Amino acid sequence: MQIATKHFLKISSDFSETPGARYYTDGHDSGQEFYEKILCHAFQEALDDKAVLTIDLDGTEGYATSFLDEAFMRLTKDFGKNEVLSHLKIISTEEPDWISEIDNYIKDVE
Amino acid sequence: MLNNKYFIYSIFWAFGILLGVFFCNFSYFVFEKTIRLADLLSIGITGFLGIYIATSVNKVFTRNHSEKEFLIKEIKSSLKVVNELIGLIHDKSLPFGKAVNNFKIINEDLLLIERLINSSHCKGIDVSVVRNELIILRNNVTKISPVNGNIILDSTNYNIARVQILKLKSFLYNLVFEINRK
Repeated sequence: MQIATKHFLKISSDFSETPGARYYTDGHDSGQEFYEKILCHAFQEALDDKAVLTIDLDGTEGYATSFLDEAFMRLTKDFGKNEVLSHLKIISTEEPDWISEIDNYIKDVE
Repeated sequence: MLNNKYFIYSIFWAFGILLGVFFCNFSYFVFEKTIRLADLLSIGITGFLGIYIATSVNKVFTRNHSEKEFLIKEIKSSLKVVNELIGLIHDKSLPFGKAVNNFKIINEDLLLIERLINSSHCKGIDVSVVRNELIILRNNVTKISPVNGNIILDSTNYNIARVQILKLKSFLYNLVFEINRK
């Protein structure tokens, strides 16, 4: 596992080609692990630099709803909805529907 | 096959001779030995237009037919993965990696089919209803935490997933019917 290039994160190369489910207890490469080891730090760096963190979803074997929901829900709870919406950009050409799904996960956080 | 073709040609040939003999010997018709230039031009233009229209129509028909065949082939390949998922759902235990990957394959296939439809003569057929159904099913199945690497469906989740995947399958068949109607 390597640290992402500044303000750009590709899940398939920076984390795993086979992302798992929600929690550590669900098995390898969970959403919780992705958040705690990668996303949280990359987002903090982007915030410090007043930049936008771009996350590329392409190149994996596929995503479970639980993985993305957990990672982005935690991010929103820790950093706040407005900060996340203004400093995060999700890209995907393989499954572009995930972009709006993730947007909903963020907006649904109470 | 070849003999059959020559047999049909022979029948046409014989029929042509009979027609010629009939008209030449039937006193009602009078054949002139000369033809007016305007009539000759008219025959030429009519003949040319006839051949041109027939060729154009045939070309469009052939193109549309091959586009349809190609699109239907792509949908059939998606149906194979959907059938694989149906099998896993019936088992009420889906290997996590396999399930997630199958959803991605179907999703990418549908995206490709949508793009191909939009650049073919079938433009206007709505694929979004199929994609939306896939997303609902994917979210319902992959939100469940796996146990020992498998997504276990309880009876409620099983019934919901079974209905949804059959709906997805019927939408894909409807897509084939709609393409065939174009």
